[in-house]
Amino acid sequence: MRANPEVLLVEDDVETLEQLRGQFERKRFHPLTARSATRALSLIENNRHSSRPVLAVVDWDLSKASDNHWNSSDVLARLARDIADCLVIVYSQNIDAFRVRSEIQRAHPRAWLHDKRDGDISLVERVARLLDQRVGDLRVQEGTVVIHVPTHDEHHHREAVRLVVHHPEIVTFHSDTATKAVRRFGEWLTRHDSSVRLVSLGNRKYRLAVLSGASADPE
Amino acid sequence: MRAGSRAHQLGVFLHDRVRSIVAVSEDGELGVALRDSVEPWRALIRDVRSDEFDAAVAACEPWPWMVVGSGSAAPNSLLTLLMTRPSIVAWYGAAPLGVGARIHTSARFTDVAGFVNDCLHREVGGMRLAAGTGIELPLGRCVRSASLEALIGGHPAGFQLPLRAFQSGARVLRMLDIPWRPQRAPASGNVVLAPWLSPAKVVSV
Repeated sequence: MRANPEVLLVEDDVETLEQLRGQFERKRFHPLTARSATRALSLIENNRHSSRPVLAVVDWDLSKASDNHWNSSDVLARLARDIADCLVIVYSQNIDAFRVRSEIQRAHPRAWLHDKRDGDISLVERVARLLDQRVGDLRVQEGTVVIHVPTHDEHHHREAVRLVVHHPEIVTFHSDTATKAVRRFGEWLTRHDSSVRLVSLGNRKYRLAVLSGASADPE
Repeated sequence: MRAGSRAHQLGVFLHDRVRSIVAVSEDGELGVALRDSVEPWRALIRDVRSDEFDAAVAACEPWPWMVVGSGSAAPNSLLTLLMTRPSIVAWYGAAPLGVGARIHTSARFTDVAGFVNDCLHREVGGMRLAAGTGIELPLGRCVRSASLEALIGGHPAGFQLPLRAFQSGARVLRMLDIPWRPQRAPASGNVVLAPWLSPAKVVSV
């Protein structure tokens, strides 16, 4: 069974939020939407035991939000602290201004930046590029499944998807269940004689490594 | 929540063992420019102000791999860091008073960025920095040692520190039988990585 990956969408403009929701639903994501930072923080807090979005798209300027007690910087800082393995894209009309970029990167040093002026389609295309990752002889399809290209075998666990999507970065897993899933994925790679192997760095930190001599792209 | 405590919730102050570059400047432009120059999986850029330097250094476990700064004044604790830990330090502009001999300086940002990337991409004796943290060894092995990461990045200049500051790196090299060790360079007196012939091998020769 495949669980649709969750995406957190934080946008104060109703029309834009609905457009984004539609775009991501068509890509088979499960959107968690928030029109204010307060609502986004509440979603993260209330769902922390049941869901971990693979992706968050955060509008930097939330001035139209009904509640301005918290802002997008607070959301980013919370994502960095509590869901460090969630890919974060921050988009803004002023993404070229170094002060805006500095504030974003201080709140979430790993956040990706996107220019809002490029439009929603460009954002969704970028997400697709980020999630349809290829590593050695592995490929992630639509952010939901890891495929071993030579055998077409599939591995469905979302922690495996996280590892491939984040390659070559280190991913920290936060539960025994997740680390067991990661180890099973490592065994799956060995069984399939994959050109990719799992590297354990201790303290629940893992990353993937492509064996030397293996092609970076199997196709 | 007060503004001060809210500021220290920011991601740049999260404790982490990944390789960190602390970018200290008064307006953040240096950190932003560095972030544009460095592949994100090679190192985490922590963009901080001078008065946040101590908090950022404390967040880097066990210590920052590199500090890049700008401006005429260095944070008070930079000299302490330089005298106790093998952190590579680069400065955009003239070196601040008191730390000049120990750091790399340049008046052009492209040179600073080039220096940072040279350090990140350096290979010594077949060893190079792995993604995020640790060292990739010949034959695809990986190990973790912050002092060895510093010695590889800072090669061949090395560090004005006691040899004992590099014990963990020396232990890793000895355990894996890699013929390199932290040693004091005769010319500079700095500790550097240098080829090493074991006493047993010397005798057998």
